[in-house]
Amino acid sequence: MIKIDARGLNCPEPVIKTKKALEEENLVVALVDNETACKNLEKLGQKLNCSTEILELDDDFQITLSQIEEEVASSLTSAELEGGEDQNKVYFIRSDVLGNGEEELGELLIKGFIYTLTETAPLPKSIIFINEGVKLPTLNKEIKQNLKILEEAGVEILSCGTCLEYYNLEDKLKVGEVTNMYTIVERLNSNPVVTV
Amino acid sequence: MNVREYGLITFYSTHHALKAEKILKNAGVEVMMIPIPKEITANCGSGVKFNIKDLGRINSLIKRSNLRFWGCYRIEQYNRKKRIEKISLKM
Repeated sequence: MIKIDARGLNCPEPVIKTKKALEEENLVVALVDNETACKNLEKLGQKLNCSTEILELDDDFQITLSQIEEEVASSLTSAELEGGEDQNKVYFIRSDVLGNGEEELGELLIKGFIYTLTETAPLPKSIIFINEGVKLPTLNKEIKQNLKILEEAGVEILSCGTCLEYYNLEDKLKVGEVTNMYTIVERLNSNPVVTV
Repeated sequence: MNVREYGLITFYSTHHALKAEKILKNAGVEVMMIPIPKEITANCGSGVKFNIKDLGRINSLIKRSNLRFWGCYRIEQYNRKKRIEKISLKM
């Protein structure tokens, strides 16, 4: 990563410096002190197929440009659009909290985790909820919202039928589908699995 | 283009963020706890995401709560781009 302090420089120096830095490194963070320079760097980023992130500080702008390699760029787009080859991971969620510890924190973390899945490419192929995990797609309002977003983006959402019945939550499932152990084992056997 | 805009308020501690979530939800404001984007902080913090239209209500509810907030942001999100602007809450 290269950091550039381009404050106080006149146009087009910030652009030239940033462009040079991008020839050496894929990730460049530039600091500029005016909106025009910020916009010019944003345009440079578009031209060079970079993802750009702009942080408006009190007086300055910080622009992060990360160049996406051709291969990654194409798989990102396809994953975003309709599930490319990289969309192959299965998330196996076995609890209604993330990790061991205080329940309040565990709930905060699992909510943040599912939210972040909606923001990150490539998307998973499937998310499977088992045991207490089935409380997430049935009882947790925010998680249900985010699972709907994932489902609309082509992610398969599966909840264990035995578990729904055991916890008496069959009527509450409003996102994804009920599944059985045969389908679950099939999914786990044929894809890379992330156990949560 | 699919542009999403939302507000995010962050606090000095996770405990304060959780308290703020409770206060705002009890007041009927629709909020969601989300991890703070890495452009704002590299720490693994959580912040309260809200609809920009609720900014005024959130401002007065947080002011009354005595919770110490750390920053407030307006975030615009395009496909692969995020624009983060710091906004001020009037305390």
